[in-house]
Amino acid sequence: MNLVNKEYKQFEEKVQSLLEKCYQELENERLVKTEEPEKITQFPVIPQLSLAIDPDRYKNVLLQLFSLIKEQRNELAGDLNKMEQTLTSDMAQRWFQEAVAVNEYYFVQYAKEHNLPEWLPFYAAENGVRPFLRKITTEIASVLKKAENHRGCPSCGEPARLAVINEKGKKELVCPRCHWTWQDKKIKCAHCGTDKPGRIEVLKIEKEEKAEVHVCLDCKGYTKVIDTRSMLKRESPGMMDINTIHLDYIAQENGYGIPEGDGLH
Amino acid sequence: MPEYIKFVDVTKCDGCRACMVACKNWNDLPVATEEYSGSIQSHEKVNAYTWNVITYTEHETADGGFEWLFRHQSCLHCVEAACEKACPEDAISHTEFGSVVVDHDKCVGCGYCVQNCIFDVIELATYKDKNGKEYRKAQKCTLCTDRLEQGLLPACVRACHSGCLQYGKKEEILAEAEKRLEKVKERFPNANIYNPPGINGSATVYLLAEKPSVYGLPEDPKLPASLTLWKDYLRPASKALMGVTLTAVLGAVIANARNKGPEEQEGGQDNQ
Repeated sequence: MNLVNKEYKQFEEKVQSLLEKCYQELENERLVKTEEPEKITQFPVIPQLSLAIDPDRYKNVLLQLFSLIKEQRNELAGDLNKMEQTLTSDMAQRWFQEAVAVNEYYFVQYAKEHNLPEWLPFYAAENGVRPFLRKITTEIASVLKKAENHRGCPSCGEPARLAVINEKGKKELVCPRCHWTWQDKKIKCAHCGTDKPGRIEVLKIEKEEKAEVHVCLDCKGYTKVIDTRSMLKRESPGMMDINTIHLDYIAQENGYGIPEGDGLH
Repeated sequence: MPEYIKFVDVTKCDGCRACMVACKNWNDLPVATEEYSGSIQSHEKVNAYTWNVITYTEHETADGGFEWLFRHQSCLHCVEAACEKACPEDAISHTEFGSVVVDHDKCVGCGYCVQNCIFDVIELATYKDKNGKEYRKAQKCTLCTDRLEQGLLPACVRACHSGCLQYGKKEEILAEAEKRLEKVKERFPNANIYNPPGINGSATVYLLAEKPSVYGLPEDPKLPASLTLWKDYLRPASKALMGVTLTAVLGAVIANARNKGPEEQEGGQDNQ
């Protein structure tokens, strides 16, 4: 089952390829300025770090993304040209900070001020920041491996919405933003941490072999769980997230969501 | 798209038959009972309703001992498939995944594919239409092409717990097969990789513990020359000749009409 139409899927595959290329280009860079990140004991880590990001580099990723969107959706060319004109180095630096903090409000206001589709600046800024988040995450991997009792991604703070069953049959939570993965108990809520018998239910979808939704009766949170052992090849976390969007609909229609509140990032 | 193949390492098979169950389940195939033949093997061979069978071969070891040799038997999905060549309706074709599949809308149940399959893995299934009239369609393993299209592994591969069945990129799988061959040679000196060059290879490659004939497989299968001649030369030529004949007939009709006088054309000859 897949609700995503073929054209959109192909477009997203191109976006993911572009982000992968940008990530590869960052390979020899050192983005974390903090001298002893090991001393950080609170999670998520990235918002607490001092970073050495060249705003023009981020701007360049955004410009490549704009070109790709223009190729696929020509009707957005005018809006994207407007964004290009306002995207100075200072503005790129601000966008980077707001995107890392997932400040959707800032981007919605920006869209209103410039008469743009509400979703467009945030979509571009969020995608553009992902290669940098991935690179930063690889640099602080030793810190993240020690992370315990965190809810959501210990690196960037994204709520734990997606998990995979790996080839060894273990459940790994996957962050589609920074690609950090961490192992967890199979029957445990990734949001509130409950593992009491009977409090986690599994929603199985008819004719859907590789994916299911784990829902928590305590916090009403949900996690999509994809069994990669059934799959021909393992897709990138971003594509897995998009290809299983129907599971988000099903969970949300059944009254589950991404809980906010105490203890969550 | 990279080439993918199925790899059957029979030295890892423990004969559990999970692949058979998974195949029946995914393809919604009916039960096909057979009389007890005195063997632990469930079916004599694959048939129209049982697309894979674990064969149990009794084998005497070099030191006089006994061992079972198991083999996951199903369509090999030959690169040069005799069934495809033999089909007069072009109902059998290769997919983008290298699997050989039957188009049931085109299949007329003539059975030429059954007669020509080198590995005896395709059969005719009998159905009844709404008026009770019987008709037949060729049936065999599809390599779960419908699952591959969804990015899923074939059902048999997914069900295999011993790692006997694998599905992956051709280059990686064949490299792994060579490594595995080196390893099992100590225990099975006659071990070999079965990927017949006579049919240009297949989308299912075996690592066999003994010679192919021990497992009931042809040692060096080849596509019959008559099939190649028929499908690749005579049939296209006959179509072309038919065109030539038709053109000649039409030409003769037109020429004949033009040679007739105006009177003949308007009213015909009056013999009276």
